[in-house]
Amino acid sequence: MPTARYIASRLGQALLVIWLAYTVVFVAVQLLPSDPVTIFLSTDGTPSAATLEAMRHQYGYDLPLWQQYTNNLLGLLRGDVGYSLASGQPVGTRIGSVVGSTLQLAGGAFALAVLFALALTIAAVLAPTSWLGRRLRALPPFLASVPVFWLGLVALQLLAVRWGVMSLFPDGSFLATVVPMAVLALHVSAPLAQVLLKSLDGVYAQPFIEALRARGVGEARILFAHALKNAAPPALTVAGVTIGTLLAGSIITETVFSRAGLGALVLQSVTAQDVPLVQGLVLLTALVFVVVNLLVDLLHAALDPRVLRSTRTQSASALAA
Amino acid sequence: MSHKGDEVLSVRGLRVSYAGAPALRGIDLSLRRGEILAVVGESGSGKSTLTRALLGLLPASAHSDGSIVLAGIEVTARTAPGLRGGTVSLVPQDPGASLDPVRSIGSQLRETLRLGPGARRASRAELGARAAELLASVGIDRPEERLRQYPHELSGGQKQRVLIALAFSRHPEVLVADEPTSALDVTVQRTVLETFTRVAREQGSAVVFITHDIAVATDLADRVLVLRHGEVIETDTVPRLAAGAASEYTRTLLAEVLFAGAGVGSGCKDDAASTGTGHAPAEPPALRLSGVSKRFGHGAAARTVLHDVDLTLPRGRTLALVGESGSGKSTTARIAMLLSAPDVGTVEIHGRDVTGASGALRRETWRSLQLVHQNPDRSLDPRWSVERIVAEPLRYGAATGAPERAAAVGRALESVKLADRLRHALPGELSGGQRQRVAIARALAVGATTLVLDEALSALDVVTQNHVLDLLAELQAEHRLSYLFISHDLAVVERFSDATAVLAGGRVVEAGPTARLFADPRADATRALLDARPGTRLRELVA
Amino acid sequence: MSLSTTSEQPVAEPADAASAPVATAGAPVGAPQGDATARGSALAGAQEPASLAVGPPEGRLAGWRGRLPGVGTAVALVILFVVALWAIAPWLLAPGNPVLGTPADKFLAPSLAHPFGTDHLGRDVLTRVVHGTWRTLATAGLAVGLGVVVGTLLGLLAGTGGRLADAVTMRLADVLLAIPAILIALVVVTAYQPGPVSLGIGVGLASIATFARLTRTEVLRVRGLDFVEASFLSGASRLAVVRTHVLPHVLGPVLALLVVELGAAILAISGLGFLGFGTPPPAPEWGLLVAEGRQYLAKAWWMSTLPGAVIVTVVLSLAACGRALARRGRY
Repeated sequence: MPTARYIASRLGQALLVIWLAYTVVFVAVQLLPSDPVTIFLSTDGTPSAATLEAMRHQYGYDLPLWQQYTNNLLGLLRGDVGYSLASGQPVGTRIGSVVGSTLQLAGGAFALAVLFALALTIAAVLAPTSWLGRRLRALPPFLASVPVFWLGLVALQLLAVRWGVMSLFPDGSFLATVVPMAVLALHVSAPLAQVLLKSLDGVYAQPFIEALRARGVGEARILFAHALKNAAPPALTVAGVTIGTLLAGSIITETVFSRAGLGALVLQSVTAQDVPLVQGLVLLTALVFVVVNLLVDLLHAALDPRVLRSTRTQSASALAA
Repeated sequence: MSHKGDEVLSVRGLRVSYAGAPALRGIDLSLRRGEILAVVGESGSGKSTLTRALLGLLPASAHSDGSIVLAGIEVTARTAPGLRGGTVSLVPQDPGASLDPVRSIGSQLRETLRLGPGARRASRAELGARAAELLASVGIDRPEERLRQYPHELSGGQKQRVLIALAFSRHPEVLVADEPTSALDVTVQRTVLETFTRVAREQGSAVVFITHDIAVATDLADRVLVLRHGEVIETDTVPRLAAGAASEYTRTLLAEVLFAGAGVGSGCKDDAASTGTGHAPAEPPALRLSGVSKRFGHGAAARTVLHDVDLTLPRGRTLALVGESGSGKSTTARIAMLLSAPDVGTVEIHGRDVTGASGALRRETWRSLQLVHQNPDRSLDPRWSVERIVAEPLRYGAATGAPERAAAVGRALESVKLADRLRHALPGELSGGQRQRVAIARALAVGATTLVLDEALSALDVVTQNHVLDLLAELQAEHRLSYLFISHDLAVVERFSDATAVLAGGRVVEAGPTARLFADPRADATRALLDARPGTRLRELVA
Repeated sequence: MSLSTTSEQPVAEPADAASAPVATAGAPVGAPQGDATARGSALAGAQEPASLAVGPPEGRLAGWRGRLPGVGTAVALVILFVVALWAIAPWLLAPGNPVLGTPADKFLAPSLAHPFGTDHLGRDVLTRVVHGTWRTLATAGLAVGLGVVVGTLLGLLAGTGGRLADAVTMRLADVLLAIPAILIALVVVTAYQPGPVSLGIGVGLASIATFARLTRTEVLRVRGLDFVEASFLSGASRLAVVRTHVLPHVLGPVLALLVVELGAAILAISGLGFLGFGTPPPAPEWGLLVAEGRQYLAKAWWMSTLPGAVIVTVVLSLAACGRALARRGRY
């Protein structure tokens, strides 16, 4: 029962955020100095009034606001996010044609980042000397300060120019696939490792750890069977938030390594001031973000039995007077 | 067993310091098989350091020398991991935080059992059965079911029982219990301690029982060791201590337990200070709650926290409010302070009905009615100087200039016996007792005549408590102050309050003059509270 | 719940560890990167004694004022001072012309005369980095300024303005967090023109949510402390309590976050500059310098590597100062 209620409330909130994101983007478009068609056409000279009018009509920008709002919202429910001004193709089609490559990069990088953050954290906690532990702990703040484009360029500089083991351009080779992933993974792992370490430190300060030691439980078992499970929820939450960093990092990484994908599409749409396409991209990222965070919430509930109960027992705390 | 004689624990010349600051300055103690030794000390006495040293769990930053020999084996960084669990184990201080919250009770018991000899290959079902037996042996009902539960589904007392089961699960020769019941209610404390000593006797484990409460110590221990500032003040058997302690400090601690009757309070505990309805006194009472009820929550989740509570605090007197946690004490205090409005009933302050007051009326009422919080660490803004803290209520009062305020602060500090040079100190630079005096000074600076003291002494150690109590009594005599004194400490209540009201389940089950109520309790809840008071054995020995 | 003393909440709510993650409804957004960096005291390890009976009991509270900055923080401060000088008076440290080069000197490797080498037009790269400093810093400053002012106000509103204000502001913060900062900035750039102002506003909009969340969390933390209640009992109005007790306690963590977010804004702005949405060439800007160097990766490694290293150094220094501030400013 509490499980069903918990899932329902999470789902409801996810839908709420998507709807709000749609609304915020819609309002933001209305706040533009002029309508999207005018902005788009202004990039190449001064268009005639007739062209403007025709295009506005075609894309529905001449309808009353509330009708635009509901039409677009209904379209969104059908999976239709409008048409690109630059190419006339549906936004969904434009995105769909390039999203695969980006998903591969982002997914691979995320998996690597989680592995790397975990390995780093475990090594730092179990480090045989405090000197080594401190060095390992200094790594995530350092990585968080390195811009991903620079990291990529340094990797290219070393691997492609200096040592010549990979090409400057994607050629389908193993390294050309893995190096961008690794660069992005290092970038994304920094916040994950930072939060995981901080969260682990918090867990290690709790009395139950000392109680476990006092009962003769070994350090390795304390870390793997107890501390990590307790420390995971905050790190998971940050992993969810990191999706934004991951998508932004993908755009830049793709540019650095000259890969095709969402990054190139974003740059094109922004340069061409193609508002519907940008709008579609923003909604897509918001959707990915919300879905990933919904999964994080469900995982959190699976890890920590208290999550499901707290919604129910809040009122019971009134007893404690 | 390889050790000689009967001695299972021997500590010689144990010194521990942190960054040059000594925590233990040369401790000697020895423990025979099956003996229960209580180590009594207030915070800062080094008792937590002793706990850790015995378990070989001192942090890396600690510097220690001297020797600890457990069952014939010297405790060192190398031997300690092997000794823990099987030879020495711990019942920790805070049951709420000492179990892994995300693992079931069963999995934690099985984990510890698996560490025992020959249990490595035992099946899950075998271990589960042994775990259930263990739970049953520490008095937990429906043990099979409990194994599947998580710590948050158990009460504090049950969690402490699980921790006792975990500590005894591998039959350690020495068990260290670090304030195991200080977080529990007295009635729960009593039953948990009974279980604990029974299991220790059954298993023949020797016990080092660490506590701040000499009453608890004398109830269950064979011998008592008094620790202060990292040194052993005195160690002796309980009967000999009862006959006469050698040190002044121990005598002070013992006097706390034995104290009864007239003392620091205003002394006259006559029947006029009774509660509830009665003939109207000439002067309106400082505080009167009539028929107060309070519910929290809505619909099915709603809980009634107070039922028809009547309390009367006459001017210049002390009314104590006692009861277990969850009985409604804090809610009553908040309603009396106008911080929460009752659903039904009225609140009168100095004869004026201020039920549901807000805005100007409420602020005006607070000029004569003030609250002293439990923990002075949290009730004083750490960024503010003492002077600014005490002057705060004056800033919002009748227009006074800076010189008048400074003078008023001086008077308030003087009345709580704080040196004037402390007026520029920050709370962090003061001791706990000084901080609580600052909080009292703040309440008095506005001219409050009625104080609600919400567990105001419970964060202080015994000696400091006495000083603050003396101060409160003097202030009461001097300014005819009235106190609503909320406390879980019946020993303090008995000698400090004129009248006492007992809350149970949100109802006032008994109220009356303190002397009568303690001598002749009529309600079951009162009797349960009084019977659960630690110190019975000491009182019997002295009597 | 409003900042009212007539709280209808049950007294002494147990500190239910599980309710914390659940309470952040919507996208469960905890401390994003900046916050984590600001608070993560990396060395508070398992090895340290829990603050039990060890040491003088008041040491932690009393000792905070006397602490000198560590070596790392001191180095970071010196670096930031030099960089500030670059921004204020670039000609002092780099008297050369950042825009016009000597074609004969193109692609010179780093040397004493040209510590960062020269570019494809024979311009000294260090001179261009120094002269680009104020553009990058001003844009980052605009972004963080917008974020801190609007974010802190929203956070205060959420923390003190009642249930409805709280719900509305926090859902809006969720939405802002659901869209990557870079996309928010790109939307602003799409709508207006690429350039430092739209970039700064775009990045600033994205950081509002971070500041709002931190402020709200801190307000709620401080508000629950007994001295706030004591202040009400002293007769203070809600506004007076916020001004005299809540705000001073909130400002410390916000200041620490501000320093760290400045670093994050520099990263975001140089990233967008790298993509070509910042200052148009030939004016120097840090991200743009790296982007220019990218085209000559094979020929002149220094053109991208060294300006990038400057970015890393500055952001690291800001993070170190942010951590030092966070350690000092909290009670």
